[in-house]
Amino acid sequence: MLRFISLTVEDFGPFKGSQTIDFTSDDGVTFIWGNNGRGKTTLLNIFRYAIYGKFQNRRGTNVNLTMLSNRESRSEGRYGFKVVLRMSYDGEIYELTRQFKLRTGVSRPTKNDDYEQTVYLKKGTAILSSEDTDHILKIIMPEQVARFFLFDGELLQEYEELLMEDSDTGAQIKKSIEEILGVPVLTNGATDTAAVLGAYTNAKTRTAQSNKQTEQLGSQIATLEAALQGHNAELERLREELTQELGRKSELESEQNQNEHVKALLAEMKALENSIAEKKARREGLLSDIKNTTKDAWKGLIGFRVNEILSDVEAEVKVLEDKENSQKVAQHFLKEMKEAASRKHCNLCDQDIDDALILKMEERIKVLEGNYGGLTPEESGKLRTLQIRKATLETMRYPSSKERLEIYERQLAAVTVEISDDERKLKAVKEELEKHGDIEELSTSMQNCVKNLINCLKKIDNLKEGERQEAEQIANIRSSLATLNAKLDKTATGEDMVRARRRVELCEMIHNIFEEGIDAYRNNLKSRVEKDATDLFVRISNDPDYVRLEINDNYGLAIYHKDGGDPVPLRSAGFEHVVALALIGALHKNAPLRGPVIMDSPFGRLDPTHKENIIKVLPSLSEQVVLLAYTHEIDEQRARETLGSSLKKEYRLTRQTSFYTRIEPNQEVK
Amino acid sequence: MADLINFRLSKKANEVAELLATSGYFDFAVTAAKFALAYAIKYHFDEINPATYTPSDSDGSNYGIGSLDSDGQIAILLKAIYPDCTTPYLYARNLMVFGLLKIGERIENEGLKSISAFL
Amino acid sequence: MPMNKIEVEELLKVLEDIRAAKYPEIPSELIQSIVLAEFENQDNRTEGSIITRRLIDDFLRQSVHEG
Repeated sequence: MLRFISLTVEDFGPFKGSQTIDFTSDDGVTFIWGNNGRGKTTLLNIFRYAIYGKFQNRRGTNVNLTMLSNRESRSEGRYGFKVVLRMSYDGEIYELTRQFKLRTGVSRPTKNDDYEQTVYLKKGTAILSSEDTDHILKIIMPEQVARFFLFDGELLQEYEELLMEDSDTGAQIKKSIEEILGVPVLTNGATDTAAVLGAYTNAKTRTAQSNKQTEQLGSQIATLEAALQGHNAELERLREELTQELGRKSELESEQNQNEHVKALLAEMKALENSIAEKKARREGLLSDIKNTTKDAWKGLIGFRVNEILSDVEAEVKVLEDKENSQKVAQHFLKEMKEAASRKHCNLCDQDIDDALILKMEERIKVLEGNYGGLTPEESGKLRTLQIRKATLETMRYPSSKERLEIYERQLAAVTVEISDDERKLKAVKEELEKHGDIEELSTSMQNCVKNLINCLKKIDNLKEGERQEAEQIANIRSSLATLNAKLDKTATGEDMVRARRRVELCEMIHNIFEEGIDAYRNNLKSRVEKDATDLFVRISNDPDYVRLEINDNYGLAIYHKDGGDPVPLRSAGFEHVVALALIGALHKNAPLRGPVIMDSPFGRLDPTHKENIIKVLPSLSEQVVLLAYTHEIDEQRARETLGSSLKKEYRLTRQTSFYTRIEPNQEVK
Repeated sequence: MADLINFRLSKKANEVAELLATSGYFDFAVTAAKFALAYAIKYHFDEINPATYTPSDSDGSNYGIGSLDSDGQIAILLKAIYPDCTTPYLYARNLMVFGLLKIGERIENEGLKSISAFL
Repeated sequence: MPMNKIEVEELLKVLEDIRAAKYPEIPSELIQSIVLAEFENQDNRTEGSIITRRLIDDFLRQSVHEG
C-alpha cells in the first residue's frame, strides 16, 4: 500500500520558501485548513504535479511556469520551484523530487523554455534510473486512476456520466474504475494467453501441414490462421486508434466548452456594443430634441412678464376706450338734442318745445359738450399706441417649454446611466476575453476547434464501424477454423499431432480461466462495490428512506427508496456528492491498489448533517486520508469531536501576505 | 442714439454662453444668450434698466444682429415690453449680459444639471 | 519487486474457483505466476507478455512430455 510520509514544497504558488507537511505513520485523517485563495487547491495540484509531473488549473489549459512560482520569491530573484514527496510502498521508502529551475545562463525567464525540469526517485538511498522511476510511479498510482485518489470536490458532475449508458466520458471513467479494481490484470492475462494459444495453434497447424495425412487441411488452417492474425492485428490497431481519438475528442470537447464560454462572451460583447450604439443614438436624438426646444425656450420664459405687462396695458386701454365710448354715446344724444333745439320739436316724444325749455336745452348742451368732449388728441394718440402694444403683447403669450424639456432631460439622464452601465459591463467582458487570447484570433481558433471536433467524431464513427467489421470477419474465420480443426482432430493420429493437440488443449484451458475470470471478477467486484457503496451511502445519507445503491454496467450508482420501484430520479447536486463519495470509498476498499485519499473541499453542497456523516466515514475511505477544507466549510471543533482519535494531524494555511502562505501545524492530536 | 448693428458680450457673460453651448443643451452660444435675455426679463425685470446698464467690458465674441434676431421678434418684443425703447438691440445686449451673469452665478452655486430648472 | 499478495487475493480467488471447478489439470501455481507477472507489468505490456509466454512454455514442456 502507498502511504505518504511528507511533502516539501519550495516556492510553488503561495508557498514561499521551503515548507513541509509531515504525515503520520498511523492510519487516520489529516486536516489542512485554509480559506479561499490560500492555496488549498494548489496543494492538491502539488500532489498531482509531484506524482505525474502535470499541472491542472481550473480549465486544464497550459500554464506559464513563471506564474506558478511564488511571486515574492520572484521579486527576490528566485525563479522556479521544487516539490519533494516522501512515501512508502510495499516496505520500501521512496523520495520523489521534481523541480523546475532556470537554465544555465538565464537570469530572468520570459518563456517556459527558460526552465529545465529535473525529476528523480530515490529508493532508500539509491537514485533510480528514469525508466525504473517511470515504472514504479505507474505501479503505485497509475494516472488513469488519479481521480480516485486526488479528489477535487468541484469536479463531481463527471460521476453523473456513469449513469448514462452511451456516454464516452462515462466509458472513460468506467475504464479508470476497472483499472483501479485490477480488471486490466485479467484482460491483459486473457490477451497474452490468447497470444500463446495462437502460437501453439499455429505450431499444431504446421505439424499438420508437414504430415501427408493432414497436409491439405493443415494448409487451409494455416491460411485462415494467417488471415485471422491479420484481422486481429487490424482490430488491435483500430482499437488503439479509437482510444486515441476518444482522448482527442475529450480534449476537443473540453476546448469546445471553453470555446462555448468564449463564444458566449463574444456574443455578450457584441450585444453590449450594439446596445451602447443604440443608446448613444438615442442620446443624440434626445440632445437634438433638447436643442430644438431650447431654441425657442426664450419665448416661454418671457410669457410671465408679458402677461403682467399686458394686464397693465389692458387696464390703461380700457380707461381710454371707455372714455372714448362714453363720448360716442353722449355725441349721439347731443346730436338729437341739438336737432330738437333747432327745430323746437322733440322727435322722441313728438312734442314741440317752448323757448324757455330751448334755452335750458342749449345750456345743457354746452355743459355736456364740456363733459363728454372725448379723448384729447394726446389721449387718442396714446390709445392707438397702447392698442398696438396690446396687440403685439397678445401675440407673445407663448406656452412654456418647461414640461417638455423636463421629459427630455429625464430620458437623457436615464439613457446616460444605461450607457455607463453597459460600458462598464463591456469593459469587464473584454478583460475576461483577453485572458483567452487575442480577441481577433479567438473566432478563428474556435472555428478550427469545431471543424476538428466534427472530423474527430466522423473518424470515431468510422473506427467503430471498422471494429465491427473486423470483429465480424474474425468471428467468421474462427467459425471456419473451428470446423477445420475439428476435422483435423478426427483425422490426425500421429504422435506429433497428439502432442501438438494436447498443448493447444492446455493453452485453451489456461486462456479460458482468464477469459471466464474477467466476467466473474467484474460481477464479483460490482456486487462488492455495490454493497460497500451502499454501506457508506447509508451511513452518510440523511434520508433514512433511501436504503440502497444499485450499480449498473458503467459503475454508475442509482439510489433506491425503501418502497422499491424505479430508482430515485433527478438527484440533487448534494446527493450526487454523497453517491460519488460512497463510490470512491467502495472502490478504495475493493481495489488491489491501495493508497491515500486526498480531498479538496468535498463538502460544497452538503447540509450540516451530511457533512457530519461524511466526517464520520472518512477513516473508512482509506488508511490515510488528507482533507483540505476551508474554515467554516465544516465546524472544526465538531469535526475533531466526531473523529476523535482518528484525527491524527492538523495544519492551517495562514496568510502572511497576499502572496505568501505558511503551512503551520494547528495542533498535535494524539 | 443709433441702435447696435452687432454686439459684444462681456468676457464673463461670453464664457457662460459658451459653457451652455458646450453642455449640449444649446446649439450655439448666441441661442443661449437669447435664453439669458428672456431669463433676465422673467426673473430680474425690476433689477435692471436695460437703457442705462453698462457691461463691465466688451471682451466677448462679436455677434451680428442677424444671428440673434433674424426674424425681428426680439426687437418687437423689447419695444412692446419697454415702451420707451428706441434701441432694442442695445437693450438686448444689456439684458443678455445681465441674464448670462445671473445664470453663471446659479451654475456656480448649484451646478448645471438641467435647463428646465431655469425655466 | 515482490508483490503484496493480499492486494490480488480476491482476483486470484476468482480464477482459482474457475480453475478448480472446470480446469483442474492446470496447476494453480501457474495461474498465480501469470497474474503476478501481469500485475507487475501493467505499464510494460511487452515484458508482461514475454513472461507469460515463458511460464506457459515451461509448463507445457513438462506436462506434455510427461503426458
